Amino acid sequence: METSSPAAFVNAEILTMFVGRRVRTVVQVQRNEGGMVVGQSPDGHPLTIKSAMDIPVSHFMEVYGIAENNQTIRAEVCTDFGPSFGEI
Amino acid sequence: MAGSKGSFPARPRLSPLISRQAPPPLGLPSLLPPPPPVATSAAAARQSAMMSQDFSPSQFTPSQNAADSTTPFKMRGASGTMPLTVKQIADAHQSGTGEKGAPFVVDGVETANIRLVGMVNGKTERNTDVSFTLDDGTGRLDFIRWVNDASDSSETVAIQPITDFNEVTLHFIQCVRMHIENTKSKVGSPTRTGSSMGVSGSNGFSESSTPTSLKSTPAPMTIGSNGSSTDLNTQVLNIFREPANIESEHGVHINEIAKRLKLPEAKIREAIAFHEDAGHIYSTIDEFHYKSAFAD
Repeated sequence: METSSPAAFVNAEILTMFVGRRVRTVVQVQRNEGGMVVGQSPDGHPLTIKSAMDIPVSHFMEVYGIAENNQTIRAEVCTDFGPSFGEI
Repeated sequence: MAGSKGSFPARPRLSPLISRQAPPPLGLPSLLPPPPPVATSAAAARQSAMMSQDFSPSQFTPSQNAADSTTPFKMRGASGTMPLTVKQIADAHQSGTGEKGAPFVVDGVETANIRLVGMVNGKTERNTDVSFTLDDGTGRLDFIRWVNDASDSSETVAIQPITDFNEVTLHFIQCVRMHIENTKSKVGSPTRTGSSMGVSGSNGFSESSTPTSLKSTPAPMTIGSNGSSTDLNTQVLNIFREPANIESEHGVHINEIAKRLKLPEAKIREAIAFHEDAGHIYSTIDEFHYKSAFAD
C-alpha cells in the first residue's frame, strides 16, 4: 500500500494553506467554459477548476487535484456527484 | 445492485454472515506510480469499494470495466465493521506485529472487519482472481478478489457501487469520529461519559454538519467524569453509543443494560425514557430494544 500522495479536504478558505499540494473538494458547478469550470466551494466562494469534465450546471462535482493558487485547482479526477448532495 | 439511496442514519440490508477479515494481502507490488498530472476524465471511473467480511456474488460485477464505467461501487458492511482510511491501515500495519491471523490494531482497538470507501482503478481480471487498487485520497491499497471465494473463507470481500455520494462524506466523518472516540477513551477519564455527551451537545441533531465542523469539535470532549457513580442517564447513553451497539441493527436490549450496570430494570427504564424524550435514542424492533439516534 502506498500513502505518499494524500489529498486534503479543503474549502476555499483553507485552500490557501495547500497551494501546490494535492487537495480534494466538492463544488457546485456554476459556469462551464471549455476546459474550465467555475464552481461554488463548500463555504460559498467561487473556485476555478481546470481541465474539468463537462458537468451540468448546478450539479455537484468532486475534484481531486493540485491546488494552483488560492482559487484554482488543476483537476486530476472529477466525479459528477449529481444534482443533490449534502442535503437531508 | 444494492445501491443505497437510504436516508441517514438508517442503514438497511446489512449482510448477516460474519467471518473474520484477514489483513490486506501482503507482498503485493504496492508501489504504484502517482496519478498522471492531467485530468483523466475518461479513466476517472467513480467506483467506491468497501471491504466487509461477507461476500455476495450478486453484488460484484467483474464485467464492469474500471476505465470506462462511471458507475460507482460501495460495499455493505455487516455489523461490527470499522470505517478506516488507507492511511490508518498502513499505520496499523507498520506498528502491528504482523502475525498471521492476528487482527488489526487501529487506535488501540482490535479490528477484524473493516470498511473502506474509495475509487477503484487499475482493475486486472485473471482466471482465478480480480485485482484492483482502491484510492481513497489518503493512500492506495491493493485488493485481490478470488473468483472462487467460498463463503466461509477468511478473506471474503464484498464490493458495491455507491449511488448516493453522501456515503462518501459519511464514511470519512465516521472514520474521524471512530478515531476521536478510540483515542479519547485512552487519554484522561476512565469512562467515555464526557466524549459522547460532548459530541451530542455540540452537533445536536444536525446530520448536515460538514466534516470540518466535526473535526473542529474542541479537543477536551471529556466533560468531567468522576467515575461510574455519577449519572445513570449518562452511563446508559454511553452503552448505546458504543460502536458495536451503534452498528447493531436492533440496538441494545434493556435487560443487557440492566445486567451490565447491575441495576434494576425500572431504573434503566427511567433513563431510557429520559433519553427517548430528548431524542438521543429510539426503540427498534420492540419496546425492549433501543438504539442511539446518533448512529451511522
